[in-house]
Amino acid sequence: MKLFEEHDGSWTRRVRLNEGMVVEYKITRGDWSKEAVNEDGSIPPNYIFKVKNDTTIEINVSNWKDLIDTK
Amino acid sequence: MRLGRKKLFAILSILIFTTNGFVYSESKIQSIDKLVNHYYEFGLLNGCVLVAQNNKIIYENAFGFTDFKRHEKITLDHKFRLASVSKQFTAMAVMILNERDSLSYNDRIRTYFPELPYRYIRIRHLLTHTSGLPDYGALVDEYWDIENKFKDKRKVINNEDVYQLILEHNPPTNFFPGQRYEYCNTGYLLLALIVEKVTGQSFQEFVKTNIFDPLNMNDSYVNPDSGILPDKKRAFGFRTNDQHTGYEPYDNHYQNGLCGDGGIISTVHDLYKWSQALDSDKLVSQETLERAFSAFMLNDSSFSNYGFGWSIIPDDSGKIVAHGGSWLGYHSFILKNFRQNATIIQLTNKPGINRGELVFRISGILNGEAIDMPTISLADELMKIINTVGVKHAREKFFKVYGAEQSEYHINETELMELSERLVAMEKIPEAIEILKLCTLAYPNSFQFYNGLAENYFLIDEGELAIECLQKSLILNPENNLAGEILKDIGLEFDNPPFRTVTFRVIPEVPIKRGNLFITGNHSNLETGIPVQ
Repeated sequence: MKLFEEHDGSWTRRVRLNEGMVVEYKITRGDWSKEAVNEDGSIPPNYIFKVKNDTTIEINVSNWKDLIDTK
Repeated sequence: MRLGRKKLFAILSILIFTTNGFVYSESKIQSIDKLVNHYYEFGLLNGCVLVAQNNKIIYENAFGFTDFKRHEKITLDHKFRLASVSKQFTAMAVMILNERDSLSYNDRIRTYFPELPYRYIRIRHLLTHTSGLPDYGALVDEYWDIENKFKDKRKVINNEDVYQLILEHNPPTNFFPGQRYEYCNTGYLLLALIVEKVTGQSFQEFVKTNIFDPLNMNDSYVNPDSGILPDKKRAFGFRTNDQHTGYEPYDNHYQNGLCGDGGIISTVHDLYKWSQALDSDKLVSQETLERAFSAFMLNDSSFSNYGFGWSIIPDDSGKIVAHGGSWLGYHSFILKNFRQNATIIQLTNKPGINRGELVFRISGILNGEAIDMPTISLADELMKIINTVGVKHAREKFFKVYGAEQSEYHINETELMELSERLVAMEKIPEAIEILKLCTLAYPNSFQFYNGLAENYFLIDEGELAIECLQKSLILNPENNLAGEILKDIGLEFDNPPFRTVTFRVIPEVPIKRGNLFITGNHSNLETGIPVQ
């Protein structure tokens, strides 16, 4: 699912998900070689949450797998 | 110098043999014996096993009974249906005719069946399961009227009947010939008909005079078109009955008159003669056999691991060719491990062993590998317990095995689901519910057990419990329509859990200058536009 760029530099997308569903996901810039990673470059586990009500989920990305050396 | 090396090698061989070799191979035989007996003691093996290495039988044994009455013990001389292991004999018949220039692997099958529409299929496609022809099973099941033919005393279908059905219905092919491998019994049945057309002999007669007789395979034959086998030295197929209270015959079938794809009856000793002939030039040249034992090149130059009637098993330790056959109570298997110069044969008349599991384990022992011992199906054991002492004990057994770190049982999701279905068929609904409840504990993420539970709760008028299960099922898998359909079937409206709006907001520490951001997740609504891993 592609996200949309906002004026403040954040990227967002709104989706409809069934209540009770456990959602697991990851963030990339197109493929797994450009995956969002931890600050130290290590690969994080899947983000996970259970859908309970209307909500906004904020994720800060501090590093990318392909940009670890150039940061 | 050359002579010297040879001599040295000979001396080395003797040394290895006298110091290590004997003890070593003796322990391998013991390992094989232990493994095979394990299968027998677990009730998985009813039949014969033969292992030969370097032109010597190193292990042979017979276990169990000749039929469901369990009066007579099986011996090494008893005859079994080979089922699909027969295909290698059909392939041999074709190879013999190819060497005699009576036919060519490249012949189009329309040369022999001008009425058929399949223009591009050649004999080599039939041999390698790459013709694209659909299996005849569905066709004959649909169109062969067992009841009516029975009145005509022609209940059993034969090859010619199948051919007529193919002609009549012209089933479309699944793919262009040579495009891919798809196991196909129709191809081998047509090969038997081609052998008959080319030679003017019946397939039964040709195989007898050109294969069985020259090899002194005196206890082997192709079943007649009638399917009737007046043979007292035969092991009859049987199985455990559904109630697990005893055994029932599993031997008769209206397709027992067919041949080419199956249909041969033989013994372990005869099959050993056969295997030895394949190491020689007795029937066809080694060059011809090399092709039978080699992978087949598909149209896109990739290889399919099936030669002429043999599966080619890529193995780190060298080449292995093998083939299994399953039909009614019978599970047969033959394996040739070329590096060990070994043949392993298994003929059984009662289901129990998973396909080639036993012969591959024996082959592993010969290779010097560490071998897992077989395990008992917990589902089968639970069925036995339910039918003898009741579901309460089955529950206890389940927890005992489930909690154990190591066990002689294996727990399998599909087998447990089948167990619950068999219990329903026996109208043991409370027992089925109990088993399914246990399954939801063992497999908390598997929606199918909740679907099964719901169906059974409806059967005993526990609608509320049923709906609860369907809700759980839909939460585990929102795309599973079965839960919705079940409710529709009984006239209940049911909605998916309500939708919620979730906003993802990703804040990169360093602004993204070029490219896009994506979220990849496990929900279908997250799928649109996601990158593929």
